[in-house]
Amino acid sequence: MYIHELSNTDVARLLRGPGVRARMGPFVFGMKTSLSQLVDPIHLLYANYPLEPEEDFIDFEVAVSPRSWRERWLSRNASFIIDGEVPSFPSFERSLALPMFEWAVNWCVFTRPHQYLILHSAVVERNGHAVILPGQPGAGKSTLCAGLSLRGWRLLSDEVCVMRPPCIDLIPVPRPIGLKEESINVIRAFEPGVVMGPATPGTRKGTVAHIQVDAKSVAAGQVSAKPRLIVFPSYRAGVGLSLEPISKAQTLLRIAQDAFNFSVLGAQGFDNLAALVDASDCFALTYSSMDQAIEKLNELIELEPTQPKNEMTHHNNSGPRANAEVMA
Amino acid sequence: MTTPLKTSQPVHLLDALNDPSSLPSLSGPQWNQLIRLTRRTKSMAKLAHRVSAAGLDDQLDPRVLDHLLASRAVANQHRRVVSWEADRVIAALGDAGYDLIFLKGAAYVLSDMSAGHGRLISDVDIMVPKVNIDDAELRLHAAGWVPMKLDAYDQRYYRQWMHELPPLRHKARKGVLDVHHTILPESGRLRPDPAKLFAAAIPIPGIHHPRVKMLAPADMILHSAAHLFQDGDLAGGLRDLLDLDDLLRAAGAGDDEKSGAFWRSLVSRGKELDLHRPLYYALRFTSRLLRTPVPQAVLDESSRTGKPMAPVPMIMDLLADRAFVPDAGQGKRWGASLARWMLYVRSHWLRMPPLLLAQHLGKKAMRRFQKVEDETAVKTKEEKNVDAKRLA
Repeated sequence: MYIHELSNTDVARLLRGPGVRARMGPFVFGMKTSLSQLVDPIHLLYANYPLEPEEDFIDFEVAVSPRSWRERWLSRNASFIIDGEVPSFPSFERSLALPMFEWAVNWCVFTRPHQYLILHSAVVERNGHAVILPGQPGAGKSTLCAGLSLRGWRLLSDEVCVMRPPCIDLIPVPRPIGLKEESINVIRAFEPGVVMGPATPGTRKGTVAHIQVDAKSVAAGQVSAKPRLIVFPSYRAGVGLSLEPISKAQTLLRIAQDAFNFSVLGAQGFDNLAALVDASDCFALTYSSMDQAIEKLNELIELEPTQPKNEMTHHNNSGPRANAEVMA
Repeated sequence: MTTPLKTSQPVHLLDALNDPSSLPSLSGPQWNQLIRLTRRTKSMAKLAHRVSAAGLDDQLDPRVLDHLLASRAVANQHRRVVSWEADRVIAALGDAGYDLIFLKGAAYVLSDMSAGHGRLISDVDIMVPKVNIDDAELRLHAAGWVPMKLDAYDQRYYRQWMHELPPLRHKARKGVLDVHHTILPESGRLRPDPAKLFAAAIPIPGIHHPRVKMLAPADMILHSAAHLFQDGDLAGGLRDLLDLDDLLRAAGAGDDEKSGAFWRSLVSRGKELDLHRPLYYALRFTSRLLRTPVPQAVLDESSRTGKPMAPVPMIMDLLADRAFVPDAGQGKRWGASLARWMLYVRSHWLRMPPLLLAQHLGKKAMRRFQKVEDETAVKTKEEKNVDAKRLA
């Protein structure tokens, strides 16, 4: 039973009661809210996920709801409630409920599953080869990731690059892609058929909207991908496309800087990141035309690796255990 | 938990911690409850350790096991960080010419005791003789530890009434270090003589330095008991109770002469250090809630010396049960917050004379009212990364 097969009333009932349960890669989320304004957007954005059975273990339960009579009747605000607890974040206006809900789900992935190494970047895949798109907020990683996923690439995530040490296979956590400000119109113009949730103005990052996750990416949610390229995208209006190689050392430092749990994993995290960078060709991509950028990445992903893959990558193909021995 | 639970039955956190052997038969909804309970009481890493020690990893649902593995990763990080901080503290104070005693979590980790496995540790606690504490502060300052930003009232509160310097934080590494000269506040009703603690302190296995020590096993237990039942408000209660459980099991295990001597001397040592009351509570609640094997003779002896007058024990039983074990379901167990508040007031009552207490609680309440920002919160780079990714 897919979520799009449920009626709106059913979704509303589940959100108020036991939760809408969806598996996003390795994690099953239970999504709850008492706010009726969230029923339609959640129904739309998660339409392509199967509904997980109620008697299963859920990894994270995320609710966005007023948590006290004061919030319910006076301030008209809402709060996150994650696994029955209210993390120490201030409450927010209900008009922001959708982006806050999406952020709360991401927060669970950013801060909890330390059995994985979690980097901050988008990941997309074509023909079994993945491109990692790290980047500071505003560099255009989500926009490029959205563009690629609308042109046949599979979405692994627009926020996190997830690996299970000592293995460097990339684990998908498919979730709605968050776009902000001009990117929303850029993507609407790029692909008029795109399915997008409502735009929410007034967040700290301006207007925000989310793209529905396509059925193909949801269905492949348990299938990992091999890393092939690490590309730092940077959108600059009016410039021609340029692709510059970056050294592996520099790539490693830039990625580590922005990781979510690099220090939790210690040496294991470092070794894993080093193995990832070793296995990938690393570039900086500056572009103003999305079509050109996508064409370039289509081209790059088909090429043979520019340098022979080293020992560690080779061993990766024979599975996690072989890799563990190399790491040890 | 010797028989498998029915899938709808509520699951008991303490049973799970005491005996993880029936965990593989828990249902999905029962795991949902248990994982949440361990999160709320910060005991997931301890459960994870006990599950792996019992060889049960392979028998759990891999998705459930993943949560335990994640908490083990965090506990390992804490061990790594604490070991390095301790190494730096030893570099700064080891050759100062007086004893340096590592307390609580840092001691458990450095000596690789079972209490240190699967334990989350936020600060490093050390104790130096009171006459040397100014020297220690200077040396630590030179090595990069600086006082955390506190307002004048808090500074005075620590220096005048407490048993420690205001907390120090390392400039570069941001680790927090508490420097004590005794184990309970000087304003309090119970005043264990620190000289006796220093005299009995023992070397830390694995650390080859003549002046770097930890408390003797009985003193370590008395300190933990004093901290939990006298000093703190049971807020981190279950973790401390689990410490006591591990410490008592480690010191008292077996039928050999050593453990016999430990049990024979524990209560009298408690009396000698003026800590027989917290020891009574520690033995009562560990044996009652965590089934810690305390010999009946020792329980009887500690009742005779440390049990308060009726109806205090009955009230403490009611309060402690509620404060240690939160409700499994969504709702709060009746009275859990009230119990915690009463224990908070009690812990201060034990710590200060009544007039000072009234003033202190008044000030704290005023400040909460004025919503003073907590300046002591330290954020790591990675927490900032998460913050930076917030949308609104």
